Amino acid sequence: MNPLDVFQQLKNDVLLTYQKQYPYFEGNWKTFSLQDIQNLIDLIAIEVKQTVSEKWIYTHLKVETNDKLPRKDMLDILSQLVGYSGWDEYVFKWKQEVAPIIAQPKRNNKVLFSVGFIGLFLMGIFIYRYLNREEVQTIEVKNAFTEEQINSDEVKAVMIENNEETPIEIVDSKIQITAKDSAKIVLKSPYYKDKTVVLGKGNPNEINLQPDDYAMMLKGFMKSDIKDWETRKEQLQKILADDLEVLVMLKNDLGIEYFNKQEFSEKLIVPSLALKRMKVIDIKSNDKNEIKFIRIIQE
Amino acid sequence: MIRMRLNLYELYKNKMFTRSCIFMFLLFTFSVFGQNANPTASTAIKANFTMASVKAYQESATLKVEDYYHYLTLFSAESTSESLKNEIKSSIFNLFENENSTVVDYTAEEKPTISLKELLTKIENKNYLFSVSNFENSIVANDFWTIQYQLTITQNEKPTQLLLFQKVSFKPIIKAFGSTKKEVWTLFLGEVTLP
Repeated sequence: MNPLDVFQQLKNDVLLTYQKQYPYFEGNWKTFSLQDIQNLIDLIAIEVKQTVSEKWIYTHLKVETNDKLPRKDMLDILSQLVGYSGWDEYVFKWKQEVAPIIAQPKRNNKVLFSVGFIGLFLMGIFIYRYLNREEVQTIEVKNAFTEEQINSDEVKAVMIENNEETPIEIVDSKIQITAKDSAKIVLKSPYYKDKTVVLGKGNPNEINLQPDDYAMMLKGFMKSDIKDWETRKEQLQKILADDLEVLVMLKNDLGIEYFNKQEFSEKLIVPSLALKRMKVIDIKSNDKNEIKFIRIIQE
Repeated sequence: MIRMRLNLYELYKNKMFTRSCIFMFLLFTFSVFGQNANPTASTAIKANFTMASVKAYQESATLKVEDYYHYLTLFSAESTSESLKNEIKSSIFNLFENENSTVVDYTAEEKPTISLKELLTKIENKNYLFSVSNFENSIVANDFWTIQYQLTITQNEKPTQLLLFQKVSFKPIIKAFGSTKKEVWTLFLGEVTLP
């Protein structure tokens, strides 16, 4: 802050002093009238016992900005009017009182800088996380031939990442994944061929599973009634391998019942009540695509 | 002198042979009779399954009883074709351990016991409806238990109710899966009796 600024402050203080004496004055130096100038001259004469010309007031006080500092003796007079011994004391006091106030913004700047820095830091983290966010994707699981959604109970999905398998829940024939490069989704179903999808940047919106014909036929037979039992018998002979092994897991995996081809076929040819409480969870086929193994849960 | 020594040696050899024979005979006898003393120990249900497992198998056995009566209803229906009846008959026999198991003659007033085959002949085309409820299992014996249930037989809309007992065998059998044979524990339905 230069001396001209201090002089501006002194001019303000002169106005305040004037207002104390003439409270009805509410203006500024610009609106300071001829009468006010006269009054100020009188006030200086009374308070400081000095004389200031009308012209000097016009030249140095009434102007809005000052290009140069007035003479030191004039500065002393104005400083004495506002309660100081002279210009030097005024400047000194100002440095003590006003400078810290002016300096305070510097401290505020530091605070602002710190706050700004923290803000930028947080924003950086936010942007980093946004750019590296784990985007949740929904993928529909459909029958490749009919394009119908596959019943959630009939498919199991696992995500394989770094040789770790994590089961993925299938809700309403949809899976939700957080897309990660190099991860794989493996879909397994007793009625569809296994499918592996490698995740990347452009993941599909749907995964189509190719049905296993014989397994699908078996599924249909398990829901059949007595009708067409002869056709069913013939087809079962074709789709089931002679060395078929059927494992029926009893409630809570507390036991297993084994059925061979003849026993299991009989249950399907003449649909039994027990059949309605069976749920196929795994089917394996041989080289001829004949079903050679069925794992069932008895509900 | 040498000859005498040889004779003594032969005698000793013979004695040893006789002793060996006696030992082997005793060993064989004890081992055979030892096994016969408890022939079913390795196939006893309780020795092979926990009570929780046995309960699971008992629950599965009740499904077989339900299937049995479901098949009887289908077999008894006049509308069932002969070829289908043969299929049903085969399914019924496969539920039982023995085709000649005795069952209650539901058609007779006195409810005597007859063979399963005889029962099938008697109910054929008679439109009997069978339904079962209120299953209760007995305590488990060595290789079987008994299920108690209520049977409702309906003919011409006239229902008759009977409280019956049915034996359920649970034992390991050698079952063929194509050319492969495995020993698997299997449930079989057995004789049906009145209380």
